[in-house]
Amino acid sequence: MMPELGLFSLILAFCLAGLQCVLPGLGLLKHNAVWMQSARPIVLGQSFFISVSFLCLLYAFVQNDFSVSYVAHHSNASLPLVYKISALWGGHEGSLLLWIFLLSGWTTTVSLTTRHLPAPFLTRVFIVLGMISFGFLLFLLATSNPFARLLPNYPVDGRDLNPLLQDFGLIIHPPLLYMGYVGFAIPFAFAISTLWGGDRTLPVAKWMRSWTLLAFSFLTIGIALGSWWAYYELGWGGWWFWDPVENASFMPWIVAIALIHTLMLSDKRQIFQGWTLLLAIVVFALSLLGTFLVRSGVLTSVHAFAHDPRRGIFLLEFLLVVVGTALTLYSFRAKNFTDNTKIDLISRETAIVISTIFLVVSSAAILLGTLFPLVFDALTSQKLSVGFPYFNAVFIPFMIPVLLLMPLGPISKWGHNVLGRLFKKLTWTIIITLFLAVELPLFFAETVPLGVVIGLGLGLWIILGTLKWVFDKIQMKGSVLALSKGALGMFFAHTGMAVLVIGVTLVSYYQIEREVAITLHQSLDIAEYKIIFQDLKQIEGANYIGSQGHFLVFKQGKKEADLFPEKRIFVVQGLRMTETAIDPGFFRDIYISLGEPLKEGGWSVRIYYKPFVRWIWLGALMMALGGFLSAWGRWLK
Amino acid sequence: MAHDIYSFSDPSQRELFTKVIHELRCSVCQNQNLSDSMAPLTVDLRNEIYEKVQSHYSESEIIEFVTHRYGTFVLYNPPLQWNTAFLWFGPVLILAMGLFLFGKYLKK
Repeated sequence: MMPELGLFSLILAFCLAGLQCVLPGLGLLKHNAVWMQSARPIVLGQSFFISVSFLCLLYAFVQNDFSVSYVAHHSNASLPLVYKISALWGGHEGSLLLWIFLLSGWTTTVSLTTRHLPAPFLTRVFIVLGMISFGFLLFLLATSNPFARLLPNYPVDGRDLNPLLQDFGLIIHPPLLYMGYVGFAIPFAFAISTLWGGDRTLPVAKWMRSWTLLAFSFLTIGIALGSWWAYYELGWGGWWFWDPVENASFMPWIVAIALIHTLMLSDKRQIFQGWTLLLAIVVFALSLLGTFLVRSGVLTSVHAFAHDPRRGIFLLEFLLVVVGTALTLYSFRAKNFTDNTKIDLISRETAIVISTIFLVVSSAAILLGTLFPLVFDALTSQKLSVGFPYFNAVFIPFMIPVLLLMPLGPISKWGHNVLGRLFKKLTWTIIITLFLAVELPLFFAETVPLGVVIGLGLGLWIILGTLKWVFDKIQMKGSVLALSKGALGMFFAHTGMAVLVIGVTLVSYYQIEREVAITLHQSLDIAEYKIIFQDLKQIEGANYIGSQGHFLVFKQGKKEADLFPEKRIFVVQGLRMTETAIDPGFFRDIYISLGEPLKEGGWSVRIYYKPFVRWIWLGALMMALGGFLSAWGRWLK
Repeated sequence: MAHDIYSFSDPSQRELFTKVIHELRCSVCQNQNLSDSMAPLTVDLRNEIYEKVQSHYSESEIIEFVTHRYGTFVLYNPPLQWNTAFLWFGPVLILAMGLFLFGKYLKK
């Protein structure tokens, strides 16, 4: 009964989504205020029914209703409760329902917090959001019904959730990512509404910035979680693979940074508004493209979800319709926003614009690399791979100018600056940066490759330059507490990026891997550590059996950690999984992963020394914090 | 003492081996390199590459050997040839265009 209630609610929501487009749309045509204002209650109604549907699916999982095909495929009676809940978004149909659920949440929030914006503008915003919801609900109902039943012969028990997904990081990774992807629909809707309405100014730039910052912050945490999860779960110490699905989340993230900064230009200086509107369209287009790439199975990746070509085709058509319409509208209305304002070469405006050019080009390069194998295959029938050597070669050089400009942006003024005076302000910062970049690594390493000097140097440059800006501001204003949330937000965001860059640089150059054959009581050396294989025993868990090793980590005679890596066999699906054991640290991780038992006795084991790897996720969290602070600051105004 | 599964007398050989197994793709996996994959085919291939490195094969000879057997699909580093020119030069071209347009805007 509940699954049918869920499906029925979904159909009602679908009808309301359609109504959300049609009735306010007619209201716009006929200048009928009541019909225009109907958008808000319809939005609430749609959200209500989507929530009901979501809860019905949740109920089905919690109650082990294996007559529902989706539940049978992704859950199991012996699955711990928390994983039964997260299994809801563990597969295609459920994660789409989550997408729609989150979109209704964002739309409802917009409807409740924007009463001060002009009615026709808001009406258009809700029509756009209604169309997006309509499209996704149509997709869900037509090709991906989460409530399809396996009657009359339904299984006694489910197929089980993929063991890889039975994990804390993966419970919250999709919802956070989707909060980001879906959140970008809001600035997109604002941009379309502006263009559609024929406006010539962008007074909503301020609000668009808050919404974009929020979505961006969620996306940042989502991506960081994915990276952290891959690191501790997959067993090989990697934290970024330039996998198509990672790229799918990274591209909108990069362009969102550009959007956040051009919105600042559009808001504070009323320039580059056309460019801002285009970026708002591009960010959401990339979110949709990401959805398509992940779900259509078109790219071979560890994430491939959907195997039904109908789904891929539908999504591609939806993507083309949305993006095509948006870009066509832009091409007609962009001329309303031509600037004739002159900007100085040495100015904050230029720093921002040049940074956004490099950011957008980086994202374009990633898009090119991700899609090229597809296009190449289609044109030449040959299979080609594009992996990290390409992405690192194009991405890193393009990010260097952005990192260089990051501290210069805040320190330079709007309008006119004298280059000489800027550099006088920063002379000591530059000197200290170069000195530390060369000397600091010598505290824990023997050589300082050029790449380290560049990466560490850029990170230090941002940290020291931003700190200087903060100190100058505190001096000017008299106390730390006088710093606005926006200023604090910028501080954490920029410094966070620097921390991430430093982490990436140091771990990439100074990490050490050893793959060894080791028997009980043998030891091995890695960096300044000695690792001893102390014990091995058989273990049993809720839905698995396996082996667990006990390793001791010594540094200069003192024990620093006990590590217990495991090899698990999940009984239901027969899958073998490696549970890595990590001794985390602010300055280094020691990471052990069991390989296979060896014929001659003992095990093959991989041991990694990962210096500063945690700085990567720390930096990401700082960026998210910065984003949230800035969004909060703007909202209160 | 535990011993390395793949041992090298010469550190440059170790570097070559590490570089090659990371830049080559497992042909039977979703998206893993020869270092991370545990597929039996990959384990065998790793051992073959190890032997070739020990026999002083150069990087290009090893790549040639693997692509001869599995095609260019297994190269994570796409070769620079006429039909991948847009892949390798595209980003720089787009950048040049962007900076050019901005330069024009500044001159106005």
